[in-house]
Amino acid sequence: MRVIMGAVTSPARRPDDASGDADVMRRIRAGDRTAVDDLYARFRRPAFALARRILADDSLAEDVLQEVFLSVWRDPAAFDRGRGSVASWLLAVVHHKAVDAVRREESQRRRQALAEDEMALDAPTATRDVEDDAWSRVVAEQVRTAMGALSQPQREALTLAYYGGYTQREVAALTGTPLGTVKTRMLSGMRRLKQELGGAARSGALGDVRSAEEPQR
Amino acid sequence: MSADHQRYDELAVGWALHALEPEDEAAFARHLSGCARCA
Repeated sequence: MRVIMGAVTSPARRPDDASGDADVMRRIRAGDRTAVDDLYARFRRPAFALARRILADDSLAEDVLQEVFLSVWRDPAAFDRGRGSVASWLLAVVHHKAVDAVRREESQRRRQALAEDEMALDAPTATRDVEDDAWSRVVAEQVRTAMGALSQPQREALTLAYYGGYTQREVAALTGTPLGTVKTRMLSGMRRLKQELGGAARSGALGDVRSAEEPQR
Repeated sequence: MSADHQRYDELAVGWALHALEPEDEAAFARHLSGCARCA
């Protein structure tokens, strides 16, 4: 299943892809091996983009993709239809495994660095790294909590765009939503995030939370 | 201006997420240079 991920471009996803995705998952659950390849063909581009964004390393990102698709094959029941689209679930799995891979890499590096630096000659640098790490974890935790305050459609739209690397039109096609609604959701979601994260009340694109409520369509 | 600007507020989010279509990206880039609210 390993595929070289060079300059892969695949066509933008179409509105009927979401039901197609669900069909592929059904085939995987039924034990159809070719369905895993189909799932891979459907998602390798955003999945790889996401993993590479987190890992900043092409070959580690490919390893994560292998791990993800293998885990889907082994445990397809992990996808619960009631809880959203195949796309957002699969990308969440990619995100999770990529972050795990980052942690593995980090702890390995840290053990190695520790062994090399027993003399602690560069203690100030090490302290700064630890502080940076701690700060990143705090921010990540705050963002995760704030994401929980969004409506499910807002969260899905922002997750697909940010972590999935999809454009607004692709998000619209993936979720079967009009493009205008996706744009409005992203804006209202970002305003909500800003509010949750205690952003200063400054005017600007994210300034007015109230005006961003989704219009009835 | 607030109602007129809603469209650009939306594009600003897509811009920040690198999620705009090429034509929207071009439109927003033109708008950005002349807009204090977005810049």
